[in-house]
Amino acid sequence: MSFVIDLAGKTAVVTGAARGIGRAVAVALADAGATLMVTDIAPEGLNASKNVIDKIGGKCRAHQADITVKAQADGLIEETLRSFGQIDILVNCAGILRVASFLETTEADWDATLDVNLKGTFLCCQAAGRHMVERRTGKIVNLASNAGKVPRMNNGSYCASKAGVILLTRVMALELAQYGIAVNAVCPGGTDTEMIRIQAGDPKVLDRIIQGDLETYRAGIPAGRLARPEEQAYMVLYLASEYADHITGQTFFVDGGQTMV
Amino acid sequence: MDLFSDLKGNTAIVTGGNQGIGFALSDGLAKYGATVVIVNRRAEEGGKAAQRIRDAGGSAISIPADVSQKDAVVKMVEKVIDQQGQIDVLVNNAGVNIRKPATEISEEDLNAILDINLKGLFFCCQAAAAPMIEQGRGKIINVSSIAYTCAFLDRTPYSATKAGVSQLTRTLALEWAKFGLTVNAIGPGIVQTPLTEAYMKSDPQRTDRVREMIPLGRFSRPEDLVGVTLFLASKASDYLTGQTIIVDGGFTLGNMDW
Repeated sequence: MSFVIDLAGKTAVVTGAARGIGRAVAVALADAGATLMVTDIAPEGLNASKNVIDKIGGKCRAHQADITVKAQADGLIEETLRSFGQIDILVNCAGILRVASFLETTEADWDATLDVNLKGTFLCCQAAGRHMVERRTGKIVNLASNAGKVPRMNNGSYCASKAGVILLTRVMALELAQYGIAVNAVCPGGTDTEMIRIQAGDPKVLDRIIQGDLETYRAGIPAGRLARPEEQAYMVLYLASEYADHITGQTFFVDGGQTMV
Repeated sequence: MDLFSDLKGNTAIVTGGNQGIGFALSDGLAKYGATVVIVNRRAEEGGKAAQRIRDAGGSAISIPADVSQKDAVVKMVEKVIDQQGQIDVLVNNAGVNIRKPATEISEEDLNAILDINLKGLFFCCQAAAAPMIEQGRGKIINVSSIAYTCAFLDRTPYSATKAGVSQLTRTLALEWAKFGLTVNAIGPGIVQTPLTEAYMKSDPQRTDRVREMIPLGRFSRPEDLVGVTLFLASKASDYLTGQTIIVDGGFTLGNMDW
């Protein structure tokens, strides 16, 4: 007997599914048997993710949406319910990073980051949460970041948005527990995705992220490597499963020991 | 998704594995394919627990040892290596609690709690890490408590040891990351076990009041901790280290509703 996560009969919505961690999460959930509604603002990547899921025999629909717009977040949930009748799992992976020093962060950077990372998460949780409350069951997993707990140079808007996601997760956990809904956050550290290349700028900087960097006061990664996106997906998969039924309101740092907070 | 099949053929040591949470974790690890080594003080109880697991089709042995004695711990680990050839997973679950106001804690009380909960856990980690470092891989899971970060009345030494366990988890995670070991802790909330049953019954009103403070509406059961232990014991969690994972039905979210 092995420890099998079986999500057959469950429907999952994954935002930010066009690439990176979002795609890995969608593929892992599909591989575990869930029916998927994948969404993203970027249609090409989204279709590519759907193709990956189709290839492994998963059941999946793709729906393009800008989750920073309430009507579109609501539309995503309505479309999912029309297609599949229920939502058991919501994973909010949509997120952006604008690298800028605190003094140089523009209002546009700030608004864009907060809109996608925090408001978008809020809107999707609220729309899906209303449906989950009716069914008295549900699992919500929000992708925050270890930068939501410890500060990082030139990531002010990102850090603030992710700290918001962590506490929003806790409030939702508290309010929705009575309806049998568990809400948790995963806090990735450096993960091998396009976002880390935006953060690094130059490939040599990636080494400094792993080894640590005195110039940016940055601690290295004890595990000595970046995470693979799949390693973030495994955490999400566990939290979406029945094996995590008594866990709610928690943050899970999958960061190779970088923060240990 | 069969993420956790790598537990098959693993050897997992579970201290205090004869009863309560420890037995549930032993049983869980065995169900998912690991050979479990139950370590506890009383040979007869450990033997019975191992037999129960074998009767259910699992693989388990019992090695009696008092984890508060370093020599006994070193010998226990040597025996495991002799018999199994490897140690893949160490679950440090053995722990004691003496509930008393701080003013009434004796030196004996304090030593008893510190020796088992903290010193014993440290030397189990140290002894088991040696073969794990040689293997280039190992998973250590320490049973901490929500008391590592929250204050509870009449549990001063216990809480101090659990804070110690969670901090030791971080420092060992840092030191041993380069050898491929992960070190994490579990922070159970209020768990209903045969050992806590009497305490719960001693004041039913308090018990009901506290149950109502748990957002998911019930006390934890030992089985609630099995999933997280399997996850932390498996390859699926290879990038997660130094963490204390709280499993408490939302109890410590802190509902400041005023």
